[in-house]
Amino acid sequence: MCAGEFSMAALMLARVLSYILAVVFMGSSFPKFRRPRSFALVVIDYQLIPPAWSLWFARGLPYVELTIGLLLVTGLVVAVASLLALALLVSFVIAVSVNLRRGRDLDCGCLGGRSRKIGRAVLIEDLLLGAAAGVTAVVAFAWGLEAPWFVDLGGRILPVPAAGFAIAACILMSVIVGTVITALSRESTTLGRRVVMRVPEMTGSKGGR
Amino acid sequence: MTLGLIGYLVLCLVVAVMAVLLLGTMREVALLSRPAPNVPPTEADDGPALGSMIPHLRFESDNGFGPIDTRGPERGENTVILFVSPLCEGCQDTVGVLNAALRQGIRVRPIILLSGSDRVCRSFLNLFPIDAPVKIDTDYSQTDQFSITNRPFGLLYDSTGKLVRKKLLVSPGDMEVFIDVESGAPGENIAVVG
Repeated sequence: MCAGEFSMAALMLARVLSYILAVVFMGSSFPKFRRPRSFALVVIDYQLIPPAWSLWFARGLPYVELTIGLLLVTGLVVAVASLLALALLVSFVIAVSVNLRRGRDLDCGCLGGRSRKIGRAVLIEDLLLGAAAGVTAVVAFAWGLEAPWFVDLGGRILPVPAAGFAIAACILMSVIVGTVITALSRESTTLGRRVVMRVPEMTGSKGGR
Repeated sequence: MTLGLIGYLVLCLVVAVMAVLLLGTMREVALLSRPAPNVPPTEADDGPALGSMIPHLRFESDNGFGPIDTRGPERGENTVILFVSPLCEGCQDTVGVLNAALRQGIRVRPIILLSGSDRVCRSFLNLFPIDAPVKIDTDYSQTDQFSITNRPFGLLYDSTGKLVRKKLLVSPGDMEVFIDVESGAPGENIAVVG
């Protein structure tokens, strides 16, 4: 499909929305990388899937979010990225809605472990972002599945191998960034902290346990 | 008005709403990145009075350390009781510091009371292995006996079972100071690095 069939307004709107989504997704992934175990506990507290699955979900989610953010901000394969974003946001809306209906008061986990409580504000934010992802997906699909619209507004289509390479590059980048952030995180440094005894002999009668 | 103008106005409105949303998110990120503010000391109000004796509690630990008896045969050494919640990040950091100290051989009898839902507490024990007996306190029955309302909170009893120190442990540094007490108490002359 050709770009000329779309108004510039729709295209501009989708581009602005994709950048907003990119910032939100990348911004929300960093705290989750920094406190992976803490975020896993928040996911478990939602009580929607078994704890073992929650653990894998919590581990994988920040990588998916960062990949989506990178794809959106670079303008590569926006259609696929915005669809993934929409799917994630729908799952967040369902998770928050179910727990609000249960009358539970728990951390939303929107920005990792330390965050605010779930509520209508969180739900509305997720719905707004979901709508943004939906609009972006519709425009991007109509524009062309792999159109790099930041490069060429004339509607040139990114070849499929190039699109695959772009996705692989963004995944690789998110894995590297995520691994580095997690390794340098306060959670891992605190738990791996070394305690140095300055005086070999301590007062006290017995061992610690 | 032409259709194009209406479309343009709708577009401006949507962009404005999204900009507000973006600013809100940025503000939240900035707030969360900020170091925790200095919490006013509540040690004086929270927990038992200094000098009071350790309550006599007996329960089975939930992480395979066997029975815990606060006035049991291990009495005669200093006891640290740590009150934590699984979803509180400060608690996770505090437990990490205690864990590191225990692994380095600090001589103290630690007891951890973990308050929260059973499902999350058990997941916490899987994710944060602790080298100390932990009691999951889902109904707050044990915690209430110490009149603790804030977490992470630490109580330090000396070898005679008398409360000599209590503190709201706002940061990992607080825990380092808390266990590095003066002569005769656990953590004497230790320093935490790394």
